[in-house]
Amino acid sequence: MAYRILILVLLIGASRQSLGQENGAISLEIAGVGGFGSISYSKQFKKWDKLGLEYRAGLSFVPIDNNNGNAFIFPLLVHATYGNEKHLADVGLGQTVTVTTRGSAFVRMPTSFGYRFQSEGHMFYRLSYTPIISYIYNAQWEHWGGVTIGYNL
Amino acid sequence: MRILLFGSILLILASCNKRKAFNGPNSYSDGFEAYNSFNELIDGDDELWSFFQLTKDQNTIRIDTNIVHSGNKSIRFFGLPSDGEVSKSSINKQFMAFWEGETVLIDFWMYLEGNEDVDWLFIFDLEEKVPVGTGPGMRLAIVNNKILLEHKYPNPNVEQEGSGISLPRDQWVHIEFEAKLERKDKGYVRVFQDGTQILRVDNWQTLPKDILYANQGTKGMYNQIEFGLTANSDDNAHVLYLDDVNVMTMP
Repeated sequence: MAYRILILVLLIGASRQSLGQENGAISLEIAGVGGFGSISYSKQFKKWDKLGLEYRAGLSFVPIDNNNGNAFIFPLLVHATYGNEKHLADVGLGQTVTVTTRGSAFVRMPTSFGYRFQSEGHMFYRLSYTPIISYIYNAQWEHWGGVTIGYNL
Repeated sequence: MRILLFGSILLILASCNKRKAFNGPNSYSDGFEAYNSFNELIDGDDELWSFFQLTKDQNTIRIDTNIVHSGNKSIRFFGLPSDGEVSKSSINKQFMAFWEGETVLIDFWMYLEGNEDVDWLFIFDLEEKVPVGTGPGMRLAIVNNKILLEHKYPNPNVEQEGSGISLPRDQWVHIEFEAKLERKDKGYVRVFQDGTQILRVDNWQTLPKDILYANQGTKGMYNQIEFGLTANSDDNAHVLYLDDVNVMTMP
């Protein structure tokens, strides 16, 4: 499974590269905002000196059971990064839309508080505390975390 | 301070709306005397039972007049063992409302036919129907011929201490289930079998919480009850009779 995800990430990366989109990135996060893991595309849309803003759109998946089918999870976040070219604080906030193959849906609010290391090449790495918040019926704060490996296109 | 006050008011308003939106009965009694066929159990308005679960063609539910605890009728459930699919033969009542902080008292009489060993036969579920998830909750199962408490959320099973007391067979047995509902480790569960306490656990999480994206939309409540062969994970087919179900709630 992980091997297939890696191939998918590389294929997406290759397609983005062929389109010549700069500043975008693809990443694979283990655990984190997508639950057990997710792949994401992100792109910076604002930059002030050390502060940057980027959006992030991801995809994740979790099988539930025969009655409830499988859940596809779409994390959508805005991340703020602050720091120099190598070391950055990285904070994200967004919404995660879950849609199951049986037609039910729900939303939760993923957050991300992390440290991002930008290598001299294309790669970046992020270690984050990623609590997931429920807010529709009541407030629930669920502790969680993630490790990201990303590639700047 | 103002922010705290404003936030508290918002939370109270949200809580009120939640209780209004998911309002429902928190008590129910049924001796099954009023039914002539099992189809009459389901009235379509959830005033009586809401639906059956018969996951195999040979599984059956019927009104029985031979083996009864009181009156003239009981319900008979027959369920084959599970194979690739979970075998269920059960009745379910939904759109109820048992809220966090309340104590739920449920008692019923059951009669399990046969004397073969039983392992992982589920007989009662207290669940929450959620937008995404498997209906998390607590349920009673017969494991190694004894009743234990199992959770459909990450919490260890609660087993009888020592050698425990086996479930009597081919006779009516009175089961009483009492649970203080809490999402933190502040609840408790007691289970009595023919008046003897067989399970007890304190400082216990008795309500589910959202779990990543596999279980979403929990509200700090339970809203459905299920009786019968709610899941037959044993190797054998089973026949179970049910009578005199009482559900009540204390604040």
